[in-house]
Amino acid sequence: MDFTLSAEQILLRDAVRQHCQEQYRFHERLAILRRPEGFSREHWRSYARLGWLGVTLPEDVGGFAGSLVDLVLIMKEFGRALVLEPFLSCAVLAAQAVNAAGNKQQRQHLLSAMVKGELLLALAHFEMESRGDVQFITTRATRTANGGFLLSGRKSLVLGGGIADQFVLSARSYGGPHDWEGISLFLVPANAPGLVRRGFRTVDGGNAAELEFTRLEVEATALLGEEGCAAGAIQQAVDHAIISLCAEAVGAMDKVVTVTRDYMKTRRAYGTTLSTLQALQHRLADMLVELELSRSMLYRALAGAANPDWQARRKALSAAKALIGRSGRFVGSQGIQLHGGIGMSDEYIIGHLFKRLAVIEALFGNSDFHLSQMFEDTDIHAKKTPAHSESVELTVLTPAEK
Amino acid sequence: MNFEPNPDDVLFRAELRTTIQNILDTLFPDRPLNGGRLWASNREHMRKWIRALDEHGYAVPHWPVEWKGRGWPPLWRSIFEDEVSRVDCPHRDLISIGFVGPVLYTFGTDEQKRKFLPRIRSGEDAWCQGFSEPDAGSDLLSLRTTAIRQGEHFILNGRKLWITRAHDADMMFALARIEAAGNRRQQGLSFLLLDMRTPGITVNPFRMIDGVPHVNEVLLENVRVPVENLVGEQGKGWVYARFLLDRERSLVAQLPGLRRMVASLRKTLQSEIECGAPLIENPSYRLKFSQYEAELGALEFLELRFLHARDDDPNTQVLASILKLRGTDLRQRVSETLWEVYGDRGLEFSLCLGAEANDERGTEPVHWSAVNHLFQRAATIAGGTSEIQRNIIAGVSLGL
Repeated sequence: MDFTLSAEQILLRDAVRQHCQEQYRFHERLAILRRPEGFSREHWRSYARLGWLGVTLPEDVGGFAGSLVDLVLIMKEFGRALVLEPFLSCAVLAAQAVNAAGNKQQRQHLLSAMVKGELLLALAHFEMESRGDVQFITTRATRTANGGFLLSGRKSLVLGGGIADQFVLSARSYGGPHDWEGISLFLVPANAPGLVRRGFRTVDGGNAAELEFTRLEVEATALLGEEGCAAGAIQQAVDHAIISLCAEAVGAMDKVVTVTRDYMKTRRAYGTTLSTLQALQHRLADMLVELELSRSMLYRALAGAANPDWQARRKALSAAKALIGRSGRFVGSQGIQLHGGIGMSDEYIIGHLFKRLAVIEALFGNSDFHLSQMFEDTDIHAKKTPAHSESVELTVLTPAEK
Repeated sequence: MNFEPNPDDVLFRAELRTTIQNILDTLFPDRPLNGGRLWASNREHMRKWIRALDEHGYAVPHWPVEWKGRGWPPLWRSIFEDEVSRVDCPHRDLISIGFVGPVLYTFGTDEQKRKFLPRIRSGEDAWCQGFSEPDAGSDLLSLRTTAIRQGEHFILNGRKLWITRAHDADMMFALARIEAAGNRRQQGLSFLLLDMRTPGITVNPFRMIDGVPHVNEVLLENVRVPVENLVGEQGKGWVYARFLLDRERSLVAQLPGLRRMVASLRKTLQSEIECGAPLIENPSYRLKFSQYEAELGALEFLELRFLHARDDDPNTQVLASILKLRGTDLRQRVSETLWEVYGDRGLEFSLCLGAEANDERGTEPVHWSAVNHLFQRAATIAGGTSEIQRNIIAGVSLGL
């Protein structure tokens, strides 16, 4: 176990930090937020040029085969700067699903375009009733006479969905809504006839969409990998996303604490600065405590992600998501409280940090959901363990030829 | 930064587990299961245990190699603590090996080191900490015990309070004030070593709300302490006490013990029945339990960060205070739940007034949980209250 950053890790962190400090100051971010698309294609091209979009993807798709630590370093800086580009939805969530589920040709075709910044992908998986449960899927896929598929269902919160060129869409080929087996992934162009996309912004300003489709026809080649076997790939993608969100939350909390501390040292009331008032000092101390516990939890999640045991890995990630989610809401809301009225202004950073932290807590299952997931015991959650758990690995190794 | 598991660590843990088990089986073949607290805190058991650990080089692994420490990497130190906490063994005297030992090997004279360190390691001397007084708890600088130089001795007078295990101790390290004109508050304090058999020392045990006399009042009346028992410089006692308290903050979290309490909570949730079903099926207990486990996991990694951090970094101090603040808070919440799960049976108090302290009934899980829950209220007071920890955290982060 090594808590010290390597020379390469420091270079990566500094590069991301420098980019954010020079080109993602709060007023610049606010301008991007208020654009129709809600993100900057110029920045997206920069991320591609700097190699960040493929940081954890294997080299055969143009990636850098970096570790989860590299991903975490990027996300922490993005969290601090409240980066709006669809890094999480496209370069982490959708890309990991394609990498884990697709055959060699599909992976290379889709991911090398994504890594170059030329293709925006979005994972259309979760549904209204899933609430964080990765395998609760009711969207149906049925075979057509010519070997293609008909897809019918609704996808509720497709992150990056309003701007995606193509969707990586999950549907159930067989089994009931709770089954691990039977889920397939399909590649569906955003302009496919019969696909109704309603784009919207989330509470934090992020881009998302809701999809609705009835008997949407796709060709046999749209199927990623093998039919009915995608749950593991989706879980892997979600695991990457959860670690990314935890890192992003740590970055955002760090920013809240720093901004609040600086404000307390300058803001005067009752003839003194806020920083001298013990009730307020203790509140700031509690915020810092939550931040440092979250940072520790993030490291624990990284260690847990390396655990070969499926249950232990699930538990470590759920614990991190639950605890960091709650800490984020606490730190964000106390940041507003310590600022007083200015904390409520939409022209000031604290409120935006709070909104992002609140959304992070809610994404991919909120804290209560993940606490209940941690409690694995044989009878109640037996269905959660996939039969082929050995094949589901949270690694960045190139998958064998499929 | 790298969190991949290392095979050396796995091997280290496995070997340690076997060794510790063997030592215990040889020393205490008939030890009570589930570690009776009174059995575990029995002075003779503690002495035998530390001596056996010392023979295997495990008494003080965190000390410098020169004084028989092991120079282990931080992770191994935490693995060691974890493995020791897994077994039903006597307590180790943290006041001796964790507090005064490090002060002596850092600030003591060669003679003090040679005289006291081996006796701590072998369990020969048990120490108590004579800091607090009736009007000086967290605000230690207002302590009033005086030391007056008279030839080759200091003459001590004062009243120390809440002194853990003083009734069992051979030695005490104490802070006393040497008055001189122009002293600032912290300048008058000196760090002295007292033999508990010195005439003029009276120890009066105090029964706590849990029914156990853990702590004492120690009266000092014209107690003669040889000048060679002054640690470091006269008037700099506060520096050494701060050094010790910084260590104390991280030690008092005692996460392996907390991990054991959490494991015991899980077992109890499975065995206790509520309206025909095990408590573990009650969703509110499940959420609570998972919350405890998650927080404990975060604290364990925070402790690893602390162990890896440099001593002279102010952030290290913040990490130690966080460990103390949140470790003790979690300890209290877990102990509350651990008591509450016994329902009606938990309300019977086994160590009521007049009961003998060696009543082993207090070590049955249901009784232990009631007593422990009461005892844990002290966790957020001793070693610097939670409010003091928040002062420290805010002070460092605000640059005050």
